[in-house]
Amino acid sequence: MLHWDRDRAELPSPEGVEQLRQCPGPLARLAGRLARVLARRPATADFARRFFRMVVTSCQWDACFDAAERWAGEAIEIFPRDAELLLARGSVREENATLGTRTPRVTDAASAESLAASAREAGLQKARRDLEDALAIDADLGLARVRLGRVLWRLGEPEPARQQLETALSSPRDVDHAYLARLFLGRILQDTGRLEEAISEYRLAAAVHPTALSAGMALSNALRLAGDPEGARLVLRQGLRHAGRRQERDPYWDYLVLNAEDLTDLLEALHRESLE
Amino acid sequence: MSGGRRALVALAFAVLARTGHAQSPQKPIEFRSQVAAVNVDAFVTRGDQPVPGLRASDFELRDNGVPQQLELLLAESRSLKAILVFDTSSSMAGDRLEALRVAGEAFLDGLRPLDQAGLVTFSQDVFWLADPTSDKAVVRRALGRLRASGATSLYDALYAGITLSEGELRPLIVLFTDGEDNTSWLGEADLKVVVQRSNALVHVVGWRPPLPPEARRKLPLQTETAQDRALREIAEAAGGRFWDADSPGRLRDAFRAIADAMGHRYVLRYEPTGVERAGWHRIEARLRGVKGDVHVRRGYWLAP
Repeated sequence: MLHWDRDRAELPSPEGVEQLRQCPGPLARLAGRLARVLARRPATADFARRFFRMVVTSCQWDACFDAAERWAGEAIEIFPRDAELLLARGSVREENATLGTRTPRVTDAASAESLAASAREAGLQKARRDLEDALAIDADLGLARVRLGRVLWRLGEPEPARQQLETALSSPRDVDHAYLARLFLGRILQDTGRLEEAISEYRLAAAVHPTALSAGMALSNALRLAGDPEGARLVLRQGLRHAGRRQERDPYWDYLVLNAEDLTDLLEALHRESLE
Repeated sequence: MSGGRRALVALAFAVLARTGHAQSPQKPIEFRSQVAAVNVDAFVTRGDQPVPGLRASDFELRDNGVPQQLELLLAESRSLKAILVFDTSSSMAGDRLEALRVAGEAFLDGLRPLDQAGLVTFSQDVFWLADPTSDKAVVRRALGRLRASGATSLYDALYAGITLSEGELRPLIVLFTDGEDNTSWLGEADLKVVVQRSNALVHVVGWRPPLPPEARRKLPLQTETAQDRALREIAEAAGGRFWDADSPGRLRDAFRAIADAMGHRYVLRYEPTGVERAGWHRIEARLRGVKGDVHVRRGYWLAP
């Protein structure tokens, strides 16, 4: 049964069929009850904690933001000092405030945009609190610091955002986090009129992931703004040359939709342990 | 204990339906003795029909509010560099992709022999599938290789199309999308600046399946999404428009109409007088003594 589900999940989408992502249904409540039971037993508490994290991340991937927040909230009640769970919820809230709050279709476009902006800001403030709480528990949680920098920038606080990103870059433990921090720092510098410094950051990001598209786009656009259209075209062409055969997936592509790049590993580990 | 874990994971697999993982030269602005000559691509319609046979004296154009002396260049004598920028994200799989391929062919059929065409496609990645060439068979072959998968980097792809279209020929971008951007580095604001500083004419074709009558009745009058509005504004700022298509037939017609219209456009040329050289130049154009609407880009930008 397990393998059948996994095989089905890992098959490519059949041609001509747009697969809709599904949010957890009624059976998920049963899984949640079981997880809460396991969470109370010392021998299985860590298993349950990782299970909750996997479910939250999985719901986020499927754009089930309400479910993701609900599962995260339950898990944080049980494990209030768990920085990874706080990071997971902060990531869900960040994404929901970015991709989830589309301007509603209403007749009055101005008030629709105003409503969407309020919802975005409220979501980002919640994300900020989660990420700050996560860092208060574990100051070395690099992705939480990168996300906090990005969220602060989106909240219109470039200076605190820059400080968080520079702190993240002062002792990078993960090459993807360094790449994202360089990109985000470059954007802050660009937005505050420091174009040459932004270009330097984008070049450093591109050096971290030479075949990544986002760094190439960022650098090309900044060169164009700086009055170097030839340089912009050259960088763009170099970036496009790698399309479809990039050595590594651009970390920015998954930044918003997936908090844990190790989701598959997480699932596998839980699966293995469940069979022990 | 192990049984409890197994049950939990089994439930997880059962309830979390995984689908995506567990896996002729024409430049926009030419400089002659320190004076920029500006070429403005104009499309004139009466009703929905293009208006042919106009002369320079039929047009009135203001650059930052100041009337300019115009020269009319024959658009027909100017070759195009047309870049098709096609959404090939996973939602395009199947019939929709085939409809897009057919529409792309219709567009190529409407180009003239010396016009160039190229093809950029995008999912989360951006693919430069065909360099601009007047050999349309190359682009047709590339259209035959379209495959749908992945997320949507619409703005990144539009940037690529605009940047790569610039050069000696008249640049034209035709962007097609059926979804919402979710992986681009660049955003709406970036593209608005790019469009301001480029002379590419941009058309956007959005696939919007028809709503059932019941749903239509419940919707308010205006049903444009934020992204559609942004794309429409980008297209209009660049002298083009946003086209809705809700069927393969309408999709093909839109692409064909865009290609056909290029043969009915006018290129207005002038050397700006009475205005500051650097900065944003707002363009307003209308007809004098002739009925019709003139569609031109909103303006152009010159670096200090």
